[in-house]
Amino acid sequence: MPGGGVKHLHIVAHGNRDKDGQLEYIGAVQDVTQRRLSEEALGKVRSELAHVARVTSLGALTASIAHEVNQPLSGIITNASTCLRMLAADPPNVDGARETARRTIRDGNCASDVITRLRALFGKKGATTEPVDLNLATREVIALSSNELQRSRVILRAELAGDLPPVTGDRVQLQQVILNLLLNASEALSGVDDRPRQLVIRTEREEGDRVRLTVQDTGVVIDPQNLEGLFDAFYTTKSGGMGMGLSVCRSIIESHHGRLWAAANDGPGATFSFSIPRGLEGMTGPHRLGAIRTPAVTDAAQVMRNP
Amino acid sequence: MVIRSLVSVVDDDESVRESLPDLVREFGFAVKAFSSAEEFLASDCVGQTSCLILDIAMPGMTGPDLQRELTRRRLEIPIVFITAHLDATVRPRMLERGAVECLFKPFSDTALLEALNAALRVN
Repeated sequence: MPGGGVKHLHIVAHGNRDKDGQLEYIGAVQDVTQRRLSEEALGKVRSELAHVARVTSLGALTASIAHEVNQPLSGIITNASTCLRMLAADPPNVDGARETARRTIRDGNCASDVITRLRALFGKKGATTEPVDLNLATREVIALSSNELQRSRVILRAELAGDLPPVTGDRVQLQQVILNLLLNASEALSGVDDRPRQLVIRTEREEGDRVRLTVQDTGVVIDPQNLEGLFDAFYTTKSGGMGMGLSVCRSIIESHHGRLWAAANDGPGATFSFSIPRGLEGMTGPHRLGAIRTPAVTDAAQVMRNP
Repeated sequence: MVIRSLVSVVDDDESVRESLPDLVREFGFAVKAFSSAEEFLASDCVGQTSCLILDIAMPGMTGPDLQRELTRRRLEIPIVFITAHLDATVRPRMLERGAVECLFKPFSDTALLEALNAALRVN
């Protein structure tokens, strides 16, 4: 356009032969620039929100992270101290020193892995699209939060389906949803003292090429009437909470063309589940996540190429 | 032959059970490692242990649980608690309960040696 602006057009055309056998096209051109801009703005707001929610959960996880990092650091310092003492002995214990030096390197790598996992989870970046092994993603979240769960005396049982196909989506965003569901469930169990604080996380294949993840707690009894309200922005039962967690989770799952819902258990507690389709066809660029798909554009483009 | 004092290490973290005994052995003590409080209690080392290096947070029986159980059995083993949780209120609480020392991971070899020496003086 004059001035360097870009207009986005949506063209649909239909080819037909008239009674003389002449090819003719009937079509419509629609200016969708405004829609594209709103979509981009929405995507940006969504990723800002996701970042806020990540940082909020970071606070809850600080103790757990300190533990995760201190554990290998402790190994590094102990092994290196032992190594020096073995070398200083007369005669020096070279084999022992070599072994402790090897362990020092291994523990250093462990610490660095923790940092890599954290950066992936809390770093700020836009949504990306890649094949995600939901079981692996879940295990990483469990590893990060296991200490927090142990501290809250929560017993976590993971039932991860062996035949789970990969899904297409943003691994970090999905992990953030899983983390949120886990921490929420753990919190729901904090008042439970008369029975084990049990938590089940389950992945399974669903009909219609979908994959489902479920987090089930045995916490407080929930009034089914209140279930939908949980997903509203700023709904919170926590004194320090912003009430963004579940609302952001739902928006993330919806951008994966999935569904996130809660159900009261027959017994105490609640079950949170999300279900997402295995693959999102037509998703190529990183910005396509959450955008409205317009396959008509490709069809029309093909028609226009061979008039 | 010199009979070396036995130090028992109880920690659910495998890397601690692997690294700490070597260091304690370098200090000149005999050492045994256990992955849980239950395993330690079931062993024949309880009566011979001169000092216990004990992790606070463990699944099942925790460090303080084991301390209570030993007190109940009238076994006065000096305890050096170790923990990876940075909580400043833990140390005074543990010392009040009769621990010799409470070290936050990561701790230095000299801090550990001082704690062990203090524990054996109690003995």
